[in-house]
Amino acid sequence: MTAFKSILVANRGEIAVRILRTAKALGIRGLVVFHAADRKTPAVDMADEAIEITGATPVAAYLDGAQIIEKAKKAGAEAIHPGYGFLSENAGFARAVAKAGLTFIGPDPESIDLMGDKVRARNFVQQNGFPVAPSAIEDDDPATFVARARAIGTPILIKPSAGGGGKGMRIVRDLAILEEEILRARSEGERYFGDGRLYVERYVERPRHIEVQVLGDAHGNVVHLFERECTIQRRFQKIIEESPAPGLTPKERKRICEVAAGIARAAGYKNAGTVEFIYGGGEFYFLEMNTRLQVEHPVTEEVTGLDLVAEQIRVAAGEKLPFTQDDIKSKGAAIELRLYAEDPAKGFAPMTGPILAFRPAEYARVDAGVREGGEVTSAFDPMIAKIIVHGADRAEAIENAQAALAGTVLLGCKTNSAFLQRFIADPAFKSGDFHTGTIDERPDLTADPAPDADTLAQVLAAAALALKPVRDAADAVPALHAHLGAWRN
Amino acid sequence: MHHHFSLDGVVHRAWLTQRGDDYALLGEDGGSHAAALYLDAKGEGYLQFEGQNLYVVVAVKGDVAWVHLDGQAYEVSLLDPVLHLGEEAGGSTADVVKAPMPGAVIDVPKAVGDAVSEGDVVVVIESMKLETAIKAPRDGVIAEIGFAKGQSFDRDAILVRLEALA
Repeated sequence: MTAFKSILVANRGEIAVRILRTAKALGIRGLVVFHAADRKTPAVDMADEAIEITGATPVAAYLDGAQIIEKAKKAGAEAIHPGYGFLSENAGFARAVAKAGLTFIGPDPESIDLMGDKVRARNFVQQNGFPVAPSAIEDDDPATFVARARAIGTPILIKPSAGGGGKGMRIVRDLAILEEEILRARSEGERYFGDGRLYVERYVERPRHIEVQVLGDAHGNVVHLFERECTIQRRFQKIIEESPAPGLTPKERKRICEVAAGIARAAGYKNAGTVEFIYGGGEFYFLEMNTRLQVEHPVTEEVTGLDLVAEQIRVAAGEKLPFTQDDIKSKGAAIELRLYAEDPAKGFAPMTGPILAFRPAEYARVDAGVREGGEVTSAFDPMIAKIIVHGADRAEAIENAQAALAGTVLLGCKTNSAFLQRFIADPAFKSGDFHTGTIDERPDLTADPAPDADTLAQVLAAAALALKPVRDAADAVPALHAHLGAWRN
Repeated sequence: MHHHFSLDGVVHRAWLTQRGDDYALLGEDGGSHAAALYLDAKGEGYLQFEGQNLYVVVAVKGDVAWVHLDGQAYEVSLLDPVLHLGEEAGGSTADVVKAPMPGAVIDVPKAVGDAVSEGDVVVVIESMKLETAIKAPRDGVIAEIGFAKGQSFDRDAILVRLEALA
């Protein structure tokens, strides 16, 4: 491929590594920007050139589009890949990149604008004949908003129009408190997003979150790359994703994937995107479209055998998609587990610490943003790595996931690995019978059980032998006396 | 004699001793386990425990040992003996109680000048997510309390000092 000679990654952590890996494979020079807090990370190690950026905070540095574009130009990059988060869904940044004469590896700014506004996106999807949950949008006619909300029938979900990440969302099961809950949601929306506009929709009980990967080029071709089940969440963030979605019938699967491709086609969507749906009781509704590469894209790569970042780069360079819908097959089952520095027993509170040892399991794909000698700090999201496995079927994938989690060593910082191992061993996960609130319903799985007596003795023995003061104390007493000491004890 | 180890907020007592060419771990239940540790330069290797070879990865930072065993990571902290020896021996002539590890003071039920009896709680600290009552190591009068409620301290900081015995 000759499209770009050099690409700059405007991101950090595992996704920067992920993008650089494909750049390298395609023979493209891979550049990355980094804040000083990220100096000891694998992305900086592997980049052909790592360019330091500064900011009031580390996060602010990665959000400073003007600075990043300037560095990209100076370094001779021809295109910028934004990864996920940070500037990835910032239409202003996409425009500024184009204005600077560089290529933004992502969709058109118009698509980002359309899908970034939840209300506009929803209207667009509905007007094009695709399923959305019964709803009422305040902006349509503020005077009748409450009456229209009431007409939807319970349960009702209230959301801030500008929202995301579950903030300001409220479920109403009793219409008597509807107006009061609307007031609270508005105040939360104003506080979190500086925008008090609301919309309400029918709430799906025991909902599942299913999303579909789509890919479009600049020649009018749009394909889907099948679905991902992203229902297992804590604190409104996904932690386990898989494909295929275990709960769908083949007919439902075909329909949801076709609807997603249809929405992308109607929007004239170019590059990689994800259409998210809420699914429950055999029905599914459009939730939102993410106009970027997703954290969980490797699940799709594992079942389709495609490299999504490579396709993003080709499309951005103006090339045609090299395949049609019929060429894309989903094979076996794939699962991604997000390894977080957090304590599940303490409400999944983020943890920090030095990375004293990090040995990814050899038989799994582990996309990591840290390395030994590095550190998990509070400056960024506490995701350490993604562990991705594939199997001939779901049962085999779960077995492989279990082995990959157990075989990945991370010392120096508390992680959710033990929790993930317990969770995927649980019958609820194995049977595929779960919903977005499953983790909240299972506090029995979040606390680490006390180790059994043998394990405890083994752990203490290893620690005692490794800790110098303990070994010194043992060595200070000659063996004979030590034996007497033991006997006396 | 015991060392005090903290694991997931629970204190365990154990002692390591030589046995033949190797070592044995003496547990608080009186159990004795033959043990030896063979690690490469990267902390990876085997724990020989009661004749079984168990794959482990071990990393040490200060007085904390991280152990990866059978697919799980464990954080074991060695607690400073000063505090616990005082408790165990049922008396001590020590004038000071030092912080076993970094933490924060969450309560100070006594004040400077108070007369205390051995075992009275003088300061309550939180360390490694573990709440610990710091007790007077002997009868005496409090000469100094190192930190006020809410303040944090480093390891080995003096938490309490009693007036010297005449």
